[in-house]
Amino acid sequence: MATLDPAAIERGLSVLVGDPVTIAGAASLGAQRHTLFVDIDRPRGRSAAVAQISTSVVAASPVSREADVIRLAAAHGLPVPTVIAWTDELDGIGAPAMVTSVVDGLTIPRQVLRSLDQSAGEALAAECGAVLARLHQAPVEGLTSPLDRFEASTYCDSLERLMHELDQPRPAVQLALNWLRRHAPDRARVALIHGDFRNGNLVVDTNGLAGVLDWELCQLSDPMADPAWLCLRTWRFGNDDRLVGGFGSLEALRDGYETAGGKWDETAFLWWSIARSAMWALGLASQSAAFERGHSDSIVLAASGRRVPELEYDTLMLIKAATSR
Amino acid sequence: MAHTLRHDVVSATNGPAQYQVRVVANLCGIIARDLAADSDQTRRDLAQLVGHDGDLAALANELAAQLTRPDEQFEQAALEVLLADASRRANVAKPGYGDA
Repeated sequence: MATLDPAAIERGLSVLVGDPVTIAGAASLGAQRHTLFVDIDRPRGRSAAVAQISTSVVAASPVSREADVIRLAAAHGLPVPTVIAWTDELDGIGAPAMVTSVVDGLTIPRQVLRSLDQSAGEALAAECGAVLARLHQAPVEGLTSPLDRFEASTYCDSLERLMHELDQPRPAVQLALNWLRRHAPDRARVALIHGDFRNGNLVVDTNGLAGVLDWELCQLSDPMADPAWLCLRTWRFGNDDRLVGGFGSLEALRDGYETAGGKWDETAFLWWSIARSAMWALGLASQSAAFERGHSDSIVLAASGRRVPELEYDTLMLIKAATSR
Repeated sequence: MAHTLRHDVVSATNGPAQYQVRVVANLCGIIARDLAADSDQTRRDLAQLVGHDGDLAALANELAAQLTRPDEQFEQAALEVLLADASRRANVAKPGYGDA
């Protein structure tokens, strides 16, 4: 725990859930949030849970919105953890925090990939497709919190804004932005999307997809943005021959999506692959800028800057392939 | 440095500290490859693209400014230069990444 005091977190979480909470261990100490395993001492006995506390210096979204969407996803049969308690300001800490049930299984990408043979990987890709199709058909009228809305043109606007905020020449991203504006899909579809559906936020057990985590980036956008993000090379962790998260084929994902009633749009999928890739290049650049500007002393944030060329390379390769089609 | 961190310090640490040591070891490897890489090729390519010589930062700035005025033909030429540059830099961060 580089920045947060464990005893203060335990006090804050105890206030939040109404019973004594102790930290059992750290699941991950990420750049955006800490995920901790905790024990709650209920009158009827001790129960295990997961606490997530935002540490973000880059962007924080209200956890109330995330909790709201997880409830909606659960109501539509998606595998998600149960929300136990949440607050936008944890007592004594001041950061957004959420406590959920534990979903057993693997989440660390390389462990997930090692656990899957080819047929299990294909089945998982199909399951991811089915889960995304169900999510994209969920009615958003039941949500009480307003969601950000990104159509192609507004996504380009935010890409351009972020590029200017970084105040460093990014010709590769500028070129991508030109391509994206020129080829923006003219027929806009908008659905509830997860926003960060990828290897690392998926809990996988021997039966397949046991849970989908980290709903903080959920938004209204083109449904193809979710499978496009899942298929970025960056989430394949070296298994480049398996396009979907390093574990499955695009055909399996697409079949799963369409079988569950989703409408796959290849043109939009390609557009969002390039858009998401360019945005992640800037996302990594802004993480390292937060370090350089002294907003954070996290070496993990600093190291993000070295991955920007990988994303610029991926983005330009996608554009080159799209241009030569 | 990377070797010492990866082989001696990692085994002597655990938890978040061990993760951070791995990150720092990786960064040391990147710095070593960065120092060994040919950083002048991109500058020469950019000079040819924009039509005059200059230092790398100034040429990159000029290209970025030029690209704010969309021109498909120019972008085709820029794509090849930027792709070669991104490939070189990606290979510094992760050897082999920019060859696939």
